[in-house]
Amino acid sequence: MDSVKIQKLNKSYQNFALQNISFNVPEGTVVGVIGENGAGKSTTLNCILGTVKPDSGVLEVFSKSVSQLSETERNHIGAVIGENGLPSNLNVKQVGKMMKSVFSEWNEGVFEKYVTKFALPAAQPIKTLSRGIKQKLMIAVALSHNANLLVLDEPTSGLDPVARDEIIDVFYDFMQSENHAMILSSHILSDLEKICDYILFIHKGKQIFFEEKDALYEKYGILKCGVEDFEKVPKNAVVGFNRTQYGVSALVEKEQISSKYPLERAEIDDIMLYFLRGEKL
Amino acid sequence: MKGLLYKDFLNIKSQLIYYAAAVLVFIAVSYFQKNIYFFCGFMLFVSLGALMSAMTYDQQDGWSKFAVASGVPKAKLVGEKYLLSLLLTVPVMLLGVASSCFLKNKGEGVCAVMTYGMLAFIMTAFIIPLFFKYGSEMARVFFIGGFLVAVMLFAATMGLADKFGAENFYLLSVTISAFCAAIAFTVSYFTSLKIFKNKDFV
Repeated sequence: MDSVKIQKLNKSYQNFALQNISFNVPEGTVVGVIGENGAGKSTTLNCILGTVKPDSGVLEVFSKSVSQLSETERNHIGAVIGENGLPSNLNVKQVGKMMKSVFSEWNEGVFEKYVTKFALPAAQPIKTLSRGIKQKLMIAVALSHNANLLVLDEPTSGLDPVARDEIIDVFYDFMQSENHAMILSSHILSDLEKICDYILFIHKGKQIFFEEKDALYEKYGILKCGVEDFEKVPKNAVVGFNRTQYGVSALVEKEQISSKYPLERAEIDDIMLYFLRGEKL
Repeated sequence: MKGLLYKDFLNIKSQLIYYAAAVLVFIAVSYFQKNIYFFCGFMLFVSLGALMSAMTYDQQDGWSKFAVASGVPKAKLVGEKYLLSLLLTVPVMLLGVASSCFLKNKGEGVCAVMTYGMLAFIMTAFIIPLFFKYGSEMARVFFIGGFLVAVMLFAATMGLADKFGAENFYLLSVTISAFCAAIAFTVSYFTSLKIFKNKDFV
């Protein structure tokens, strides 16, 4: 079953339009959303969360239209939408007390566990906490009300590498349950490579691809060769290329390239950069 | 809604302490000046000011977006603000009514407090949807402008008390203002709900 199903999602603003975004998030999987700043990642996630009303398209969570989810079903979605959102005058302990009355399935024990695990200071007002600590608190709250789906907008931004690793481990633990799912956007593509099963790439409001992460590694490779060799490469195999001092470096579709050309592995950030900044043939 | 009210009261806790002290001062001033209207004007200011502070904190924190994203029903988020307004205004009104009993013109004092209390609800009925639609700046402009207009209007209508007979006038003002407040609050709630439901939290 799909936790999230989106078909032809459209949302327009004055200077931006999200167009025909279609993807699904099967139970037990993690979808990573990538794209440059202003691409439409947050708009897509906000549509799933119901904070933004789409203009058109099918948008289902737990097999129901987002607008028809009951309060209990909506409480099964955990959200992290940046470092802001929690009342900044409250401290961690007060947030826990507040959330007990806000969420019907608030689990105090789980929240205390994450407060301890993340070493969150219990008595300090949130406004005095660092960005990274605020982010950890947001994640702790999202994980403490029996969520089956986590929707996370840059959940690890502002965290140091050790903290990011810790958070990724927490996400792994969350995904141990087969009926859980996660969709997260991030500019830290190495984090997505560790945890994601699928990658959704959005550029200027349009969907470039929605693919299994491993399939991307199988599909694309980086070709580094001289200019003369590059001219022999089939044009439709080249996604984008850069001129280097030694020749050309190009992102290519492996299937269409002769085996005589050795290809390097293309990581997700390589794929994204060549799509966005590479010269086109 | 308990958790939402807990959040708001914690947010405005320090201000409530100052407001409470100021309310006591204005009760004393009204008592010694034998004029309850000092207290009435300040009651209006306190109940609306505290509500607006609570809503401003929510705006600054991005709380509404987070709450909607986390599945808190929009009706609950909207309804809580009206409940908060009642919880901020009614105790101050009761304090004013109790204080009026020590004045010479008890009847006038009680009616004045009740009428100003209803006026606070009428102004709240405008402020909350304005806040949801346009944010704190527009709501604050209305608050200041509306407060001045309301006080001037009441000062201007005081002369009518002699014309209609004081007792009739005061009772009439309470009745009419209560009726208007009930209608305004109801219309305001549904207007706020519609604004909130159609709002894009960006």
